[in-house]
Amino acid sequence: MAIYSVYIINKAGSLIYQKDFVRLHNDLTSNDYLRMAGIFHGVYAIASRLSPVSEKSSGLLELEAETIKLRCFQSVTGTKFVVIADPKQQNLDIFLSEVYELYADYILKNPFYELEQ
Amino acid sequence: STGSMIYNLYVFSKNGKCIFYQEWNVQRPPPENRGEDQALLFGLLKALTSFVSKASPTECETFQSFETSTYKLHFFEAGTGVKFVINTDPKTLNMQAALKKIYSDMFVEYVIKNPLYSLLEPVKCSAFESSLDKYIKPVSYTHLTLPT
Repeated sequence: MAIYSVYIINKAGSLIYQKDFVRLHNDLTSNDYLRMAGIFHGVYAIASRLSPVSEKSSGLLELEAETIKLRCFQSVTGTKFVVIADPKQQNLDIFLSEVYELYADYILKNPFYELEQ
Repeated sequence: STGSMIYNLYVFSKNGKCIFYQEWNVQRPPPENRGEDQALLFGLLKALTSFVSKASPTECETFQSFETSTYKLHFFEAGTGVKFVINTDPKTLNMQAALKKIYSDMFVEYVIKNPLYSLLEPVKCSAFESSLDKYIKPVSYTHLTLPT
């Protein structure tokens, strides 16, 4: 399975989890990752605003580039789960719902976890 | 693909000015400030290309498309830095070839090769507009796909 990275972003746009599973083209600092989470959070919202259709649009759900494919899932509480993978990777929506389940089981149900950290 | 709804097209100059805009099936009322929307879109393109170049395991300076629940945005940047954006329904597969055709067969042909046109100015070229209309209108709300 060619998953490259996972990001979990809280509803305020802060990064609460990040992991790379492959080496990236550029080495990124933790500040870079924080910035990327903020950028994605903004992009997600603006994508919804720029819809040429009048119905309420979701934010950015999927993105395709030559070297990566990105998929985003936003939970009802506003937490975003973002996966970046090989462009040919299928079933990223299933992958994200599994990540969400793990997050719910291990993080949210942990009585010592402070929300939004 | 089983049909395409094409909403609108933007052309941006290298420095971010929207030099051309055309719409065919936009269902939303026009924004109060079109310039603001265009600037927002250009900012979005810049933010996304920056994000992609950082997130990629190999060198990658651009993206092809993104989708939301209501539309899909397709993006193409020419070698000269001119950027093309076309918005379609979310199920439309790939507009890269169509955008490249719009660039090389229409934009280069009628705009760039026009000695009266300067690259940073708004495009007011009826030959470009009519060739674009002739290309897009027949398939903009139909079960046909664009010939490339």
